[in-house]
Amino acid sequence: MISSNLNSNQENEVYVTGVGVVAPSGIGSDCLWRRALSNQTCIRAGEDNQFVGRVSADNLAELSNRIIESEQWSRLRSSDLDIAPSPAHLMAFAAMSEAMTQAGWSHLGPDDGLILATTTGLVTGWESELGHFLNEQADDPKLADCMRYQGLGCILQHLAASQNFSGQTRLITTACAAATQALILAHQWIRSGRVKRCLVGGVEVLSNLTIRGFDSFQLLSDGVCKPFDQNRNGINLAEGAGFLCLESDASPNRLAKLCGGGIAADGYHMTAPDPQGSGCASAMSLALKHAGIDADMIDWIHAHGTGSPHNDVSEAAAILKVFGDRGIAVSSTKAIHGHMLAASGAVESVLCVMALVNQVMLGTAKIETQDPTINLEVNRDSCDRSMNYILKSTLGFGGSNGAVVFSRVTR
Amino acid sequence: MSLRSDVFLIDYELVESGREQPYLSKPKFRRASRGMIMTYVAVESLLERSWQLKELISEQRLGVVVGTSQGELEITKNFLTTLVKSETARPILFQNSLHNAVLGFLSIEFGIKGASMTVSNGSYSGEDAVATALDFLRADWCDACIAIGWDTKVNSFEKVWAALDPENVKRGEGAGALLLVNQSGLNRLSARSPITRVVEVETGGKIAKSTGQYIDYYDSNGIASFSRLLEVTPHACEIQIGKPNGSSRFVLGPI
Amino acid sequence: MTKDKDALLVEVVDLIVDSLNLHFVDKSEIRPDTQLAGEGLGLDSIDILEIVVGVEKRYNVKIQSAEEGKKVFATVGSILDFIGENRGVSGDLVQPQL
Repeated sequence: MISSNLNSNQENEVYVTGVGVVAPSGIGSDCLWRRALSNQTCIRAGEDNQFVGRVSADNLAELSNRIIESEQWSRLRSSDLDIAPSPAHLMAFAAMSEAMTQAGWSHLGPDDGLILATTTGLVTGWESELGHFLNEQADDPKLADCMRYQGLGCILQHLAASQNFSGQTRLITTACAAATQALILAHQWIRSGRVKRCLVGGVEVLSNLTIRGFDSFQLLSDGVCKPFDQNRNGINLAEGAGFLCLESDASPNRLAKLCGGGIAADGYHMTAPDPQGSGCASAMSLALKHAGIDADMIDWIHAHGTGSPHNDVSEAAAILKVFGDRGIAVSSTKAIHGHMLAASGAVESVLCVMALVNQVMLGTAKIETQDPTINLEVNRDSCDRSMNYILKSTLGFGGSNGAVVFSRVTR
Repeated sequence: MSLRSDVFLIDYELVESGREQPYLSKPKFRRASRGMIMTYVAVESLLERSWQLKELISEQRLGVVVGTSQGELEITKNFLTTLVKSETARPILFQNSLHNAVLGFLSIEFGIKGASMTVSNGSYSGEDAVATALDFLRADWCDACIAIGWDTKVNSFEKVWAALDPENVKRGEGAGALLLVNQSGLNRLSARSPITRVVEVETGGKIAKSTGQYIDYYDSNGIASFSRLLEVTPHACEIQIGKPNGSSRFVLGPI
Repeated sequence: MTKDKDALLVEVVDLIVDSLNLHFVDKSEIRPDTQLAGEGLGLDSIDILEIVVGVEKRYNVKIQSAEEGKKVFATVGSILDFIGENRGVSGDLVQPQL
């Protein structure tokens, strides 16, 4: 629906007023922040010996108790009686609630927006049934039951129903760049007056599909990942949710300003990034342009830095292309929380916002000997640093890239 | 540019099931899914007709938005059944199972390097792709943007969907693509006159049936229905499409 | 227990052609010195991973590192050598499910 203030030519500024996280670090953005400050990893070897970032069973049980008693869940239940909470619901609802509480939003109204990023959604509810699927079992009612929520759009519809929300929504599935792209689209919606406020989030669950799929690509590390290290040998998959409340009004709750972002594609390979980092560099340049600032105003880059041999080289090439060799500080926090795929841009943007609020530059856990071919000034340990602008970059399968710029607000 | 900036529809292409067949044996498509080929054929047709588009608009200023409800469900099923039956995770199936795989494929094949995104929202996925393309063009992130909606049928699931849907909604398959430009894109493509102006795309259960053109064509690809209606009513001021849980509306304007 | 090398060549060529859908390639032109990438079959990294998965499964062998993988999956002949040296550790031949 188009609201009435849309004809004004004045472009709105966009502020982050609330953040929420559920991650392998636990429930709440503070848990993740504490881990990040002390470079403590949450990555553990799972049952199948893969090193992953898993939200603990205790945390999930607590969230399950919380959600069943929540008003949001009863609203959702009233539209879908048979629904049972899946891990994606639990994480998304909790992170959404934390962000909205911090921002002081009681509910979403008709002039608000909701943009979500995921590539797995409710997959844990159907993948095991589907794996056993054979034609002769096609009318098994159990199969039909779990396939109800196969479409990725379901989780978005559930979040909207839980808020009785009928305003603008969008679900973005652009692989690992999805949540960053969600922030960029939300920025545009608010700036142009399409919505007044926008709730943006990403949610991703660990699944057989992703663990075995990334394993088949030989992309999984045999230990905790080591971004930018010469001995890095892969990524750690992880699960979690990150949400941010964005709004234009001058609110006392302003945590940081979202200045703008850029989206670009490599057009190079289905899964590998362009080694020259062309698309990633374009996304970063566009982010600077849309934020209206020069490259030398950026104080710190929170990199995608997955620890895969190709990603880190490609991203480093992109950073050098855009920022030159002036030695801009770069960190990756992937060794702390793992790679939450589509949600990574949201969870890591929360860390960027908290870094600006606290004026702390986070470190890069697990790096020992920096790869000599990666000519970056990698920041190893968190430290106090006066910072005005931070750039967050993400790269994804399909050659999809996104970058956003956040700035400090004086309060 | 503002929310109201003009966006023009230059051309559209519908690819129905079957048109992918001649492509299946070409070496270039040996790893491609049917969804990739159908969307490829749609974009190829658009670019062939809009001669010079690739010369007049740089690859960084050409965007693409892909909308799909179920994505590569058939490939996902194949990946998971192979995993269960033979404990083998096949990399090509995993690569192709991703929602974003079609976008990656098109971006490589056609050298599209501008703003690009994959979206999904059940039976409104095609509509959301068009709405996102409007956002891109109005934000001036690109001069031209191809909005695509696609979904393919998985025959072995037809019984499953029938069990879930007592109204027995007709499920179609195919790809639809719209070539949209903003004013600066239109200036560059001065030789092409637009078909119509796209003002807004609205979706949801709250849109009342109106006096506009209305069609009850249930599938996850609103672009296909939109294109069919444009064929019969090129001067419509709005086009409305019935959906299982509501309807969508394309608001059009004079050029 | 080692099979005749010619028969193994036919098996591996079938595996490569079938799993990668290289139906337009003349199988008889694939020889032990045929390179998988570049001038040879022109395969990319994902193709090669797919063959790794297929060979590991069918011949019950395991590539231990990326470096080893690069060496073994350079030519059709180097795959044959690797299978010849490593297969049958557990005795049974696992049927392919590709």
